[in-house]
Amino acid sequence: MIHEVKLAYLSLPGRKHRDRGLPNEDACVAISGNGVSVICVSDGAGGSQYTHAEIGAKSIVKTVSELMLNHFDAFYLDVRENVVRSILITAIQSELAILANENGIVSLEKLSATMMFCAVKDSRMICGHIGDGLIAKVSVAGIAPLTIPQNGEDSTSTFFATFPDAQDYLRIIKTTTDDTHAIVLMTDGLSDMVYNSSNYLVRPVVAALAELADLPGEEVEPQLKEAIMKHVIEASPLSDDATIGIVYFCDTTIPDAAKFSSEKPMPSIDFKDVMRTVQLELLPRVKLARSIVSQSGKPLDTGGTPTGKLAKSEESVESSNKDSANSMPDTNTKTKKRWSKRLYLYCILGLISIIVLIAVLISIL
Amino acid sequence: MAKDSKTFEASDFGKSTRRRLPICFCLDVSGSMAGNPIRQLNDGLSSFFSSIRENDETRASADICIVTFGGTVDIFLPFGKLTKDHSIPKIQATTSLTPIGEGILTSLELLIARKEGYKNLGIKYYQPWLVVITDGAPQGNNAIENMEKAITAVNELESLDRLVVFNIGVGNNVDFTLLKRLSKKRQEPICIDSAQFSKLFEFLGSSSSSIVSSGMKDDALYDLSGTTKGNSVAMDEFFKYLED
Repeated sequence: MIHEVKLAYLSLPGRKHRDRGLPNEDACVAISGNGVSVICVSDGAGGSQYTHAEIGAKSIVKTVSELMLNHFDAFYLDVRENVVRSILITAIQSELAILANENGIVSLEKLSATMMFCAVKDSRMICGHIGDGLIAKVSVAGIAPLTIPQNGEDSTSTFFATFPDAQDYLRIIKTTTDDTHAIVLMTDGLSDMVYNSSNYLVRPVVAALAELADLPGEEVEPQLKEAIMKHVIEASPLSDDATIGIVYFCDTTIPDAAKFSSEKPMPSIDFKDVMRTVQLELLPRVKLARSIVSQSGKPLDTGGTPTGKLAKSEESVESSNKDSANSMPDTNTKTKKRWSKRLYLYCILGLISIIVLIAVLISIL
Repeated sequence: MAKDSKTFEASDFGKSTRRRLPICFCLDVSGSMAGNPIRQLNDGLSSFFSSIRENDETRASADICIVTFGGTVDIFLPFGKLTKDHSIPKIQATTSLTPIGEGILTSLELLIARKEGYKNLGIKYYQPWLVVITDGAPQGNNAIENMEKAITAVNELESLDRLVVFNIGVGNNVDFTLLKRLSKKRQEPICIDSAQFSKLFEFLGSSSSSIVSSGMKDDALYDLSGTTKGNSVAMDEFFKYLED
């Protein structure tokens, strides 16, 4: 079933900017057309080196929302995830580069910003996310993170759409809207207040905030502003810029947020279980598989993909094996060698024939 | 039914967790620091804590511990004990030797454990600072061996951008060759005399504020000749002061 979609958003400067007369570095666009509804939010990077993050964030939300509005089906239907991510990041960075050139900005880094979007067409939905902030899904069953914040080793190492390898970090979720009541996008100025990254709990207040999108049009912004200004912005003299974007599906069952849990047990996380451990664990089997392939002299009938991936994995674990990584049998190389031998034989035969011919001619003359 | 905003309560929202900046002071309190140097070190620390407390943002973020070495290695102030009204007791000099390496290794253990604690609780953090202040050379049992271990460990963390190192020598009796090796990013150890402690701690306080408030990068803490970033006291002013 296809539901009418309402979009609502609000972006407020945090006190750490407002009180010093600095601008809001968040940006948000909500736009509908071509049967598509899109909300995109971005958080310009804080810090003195990101001198133009504010205009970077504005450019990013414009680029992404227009792409989704005009090409939703292309992005939804293409199953090549890396292509989808690559095209989005290329579009973002191209516009930023042009913007940088126009404004005499020497580096894309100065325009650094995160990005989150949600685009809906009929009952299909695409969400994308790079960096911190949170996208939450509200349904009758409860409220849960759809994509969790990306934070690196420290506060300066979240991931920005301006990174050269940004597409490696861009998350894309393609799904349907069937059980969804609302999608809520929040920059970290708000998500830090309503999301506990220790136990992944999204506070029920997010469902209540989403419900404001269903108010009569003129009431939505004042009501959102009153709630966020009072309880988020004014809550601390150091509050960050806070932006919320709501995709609200009309005529879906309104969940009872009061019944949502405000508590969640801490997950049992093994912090020593990192990807390098997995790689090292796999290494003996990878080596075994590759030695089998090498000995048999012919590639496995798998299109080469799995063994190729394993080879890459092994390289990343044990760079000293780089040379042996190239020892996989190569059909093209073998064919080339065979043809070289034949060519050599033909040359020899040709030479002998010429010598015989010359000898015959001399004897006749 | 749409919910009216009047029903929103402060308790509906959580409290934003501040990113933490763990700083471990690893301080020489051996016999040679007795008298005026230790008095000036205490004054400097006192002004450092005052400057931290003056800035809401830095006070909420700075997480400080103090390790002293002089004969033995002691955790003088553990992490998490600094509050707005908590006064720091005066550090006393000992009459003993200088186990710098052991002091640094203890400081590293504390910093690493603190970082793990942040991770487990989902608290964001800045890369920790190790501030080593000494006026001498390694002394005591296994002193050189421990110092070599400390240099290796510190260099590794620093090279991975997991640690910011301030290697500070006081006076003329410092083993600057060893102290220099403690940081591969800093071209020369920071060299002061004990009368300059207050300026040093002013510089450290303002630098921590710049990291927390202005998003200054850690690399700037090594590029001390660079231009001032954020709202810090100019870092090069500190060095101008030393030159003067």
